[in-house]
Amino acid sequence: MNDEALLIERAQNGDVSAFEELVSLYAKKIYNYCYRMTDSREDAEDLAQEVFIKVYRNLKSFKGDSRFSTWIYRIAYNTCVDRYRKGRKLDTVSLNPGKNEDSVEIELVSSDPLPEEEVIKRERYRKLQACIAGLKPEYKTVIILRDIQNYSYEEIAEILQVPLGTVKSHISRARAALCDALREMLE
Amino acid sequence: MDCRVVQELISPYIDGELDREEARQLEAHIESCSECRQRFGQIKAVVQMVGVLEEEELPDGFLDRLQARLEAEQVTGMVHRKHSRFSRWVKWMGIAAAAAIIVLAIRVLSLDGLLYTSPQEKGQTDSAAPESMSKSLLEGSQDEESAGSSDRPADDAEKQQKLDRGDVSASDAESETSEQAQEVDGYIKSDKVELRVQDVCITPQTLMIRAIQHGIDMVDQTENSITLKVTSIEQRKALYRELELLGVVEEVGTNFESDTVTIVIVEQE
Repeated sequence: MNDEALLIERAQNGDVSAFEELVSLYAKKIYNYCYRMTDSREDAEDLAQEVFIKVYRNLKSFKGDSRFSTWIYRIAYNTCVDRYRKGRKLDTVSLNPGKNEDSVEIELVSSDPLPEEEVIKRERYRKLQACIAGLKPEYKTVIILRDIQNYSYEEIAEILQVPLGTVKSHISRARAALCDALREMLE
Repeated sequence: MDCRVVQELISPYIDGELDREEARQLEAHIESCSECRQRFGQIKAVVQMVGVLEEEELPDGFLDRLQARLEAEQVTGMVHRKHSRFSRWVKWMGIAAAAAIIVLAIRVLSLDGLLYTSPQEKGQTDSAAPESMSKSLLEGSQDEESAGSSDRPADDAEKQQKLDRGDVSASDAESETSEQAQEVDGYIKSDKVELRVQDVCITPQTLMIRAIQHGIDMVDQTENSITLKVTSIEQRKALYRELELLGVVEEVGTNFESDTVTIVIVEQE
């Protein structure tokens, strides 16, 4: 039994410190996943916390049939999609500088003018992030999982509970859609 | 190879998901087709760009805020366990006993009325019935309170079963102790809770009556919820104890600074 499996077993038996260790293993990844899905730090925190509360509530139902990481990402995906269905901010895209929280951050830290290269890099980063967040949930989730968090096709299929072929076509179409959205930037 | 097929295969090719033969055919096509070559270059560039996005740091205080929410969850989780089948049984028995007393009381009063009182007096006794009914129900709920403490034997039985399975660890003992500590300190932490009830008779008015007994004022009321002004931790504790007797309490609010608490009554099947 590996370390993570032991932690899970201890947490399932009510060991709070083991649960905290599990949280610390996944908090940053899940927060980042939610952030890429929403393009909002505030929503990402709220969603990520909701994910861990659901994990806590349902920990005893985790039987180890799938990997713990894919189970927790599945909860994260469903939580984000639920929010999307309720019509809140998951699909917001703003390509207009000045309306996005990242551009506010640039203004706040730029009392000394930033080197031009840095400004371009940040602007590119912001547009890319907005383009990802503007994709359909099933597309942006595969971009985040595959290209940012480096999960394999099999793991993504396990997370989304879809056949491998669907994952392949989603990744292909998601990248093409992102490519079109960013064409202006690439040329 | 068809251009459309090639464009579908660019992504799996980049990820090393194609077999050798498919990969060779795709490379040959890209070499000879400028449109697909351009698309290949664009997709590869996107993958590289996305791949270098830096990970965001967790916001300051993220874990503390999560811990606070989980602690609230532990308290409500405990309440959930307390309202086990046994305590629900006790609760329903209490209500059934109260109902039986009411029926008996009404019968006696009706008999008295029929045999010995004038129609006017009979009207008075009838109007007194609802008062005695609500009193009996209140008494019934006090019985429930004491029944709550008699829940312990059920816990002990569960513990014994665990012992029988050789399933008691130090962490179990620790969590029992902390649960008991929380039991004493249980209070409503956020600005909103859900009260899951099985008794359809529990309405916002029921909650208002109980709140008034603790000097808690009402701010707002809807068909299925009530908002109360709670100014001290004692009031939060008192309110929590009252709700605990009526059903399963679940914290759903996110504001831990507010001086109001909205209680939403949710009927459980």
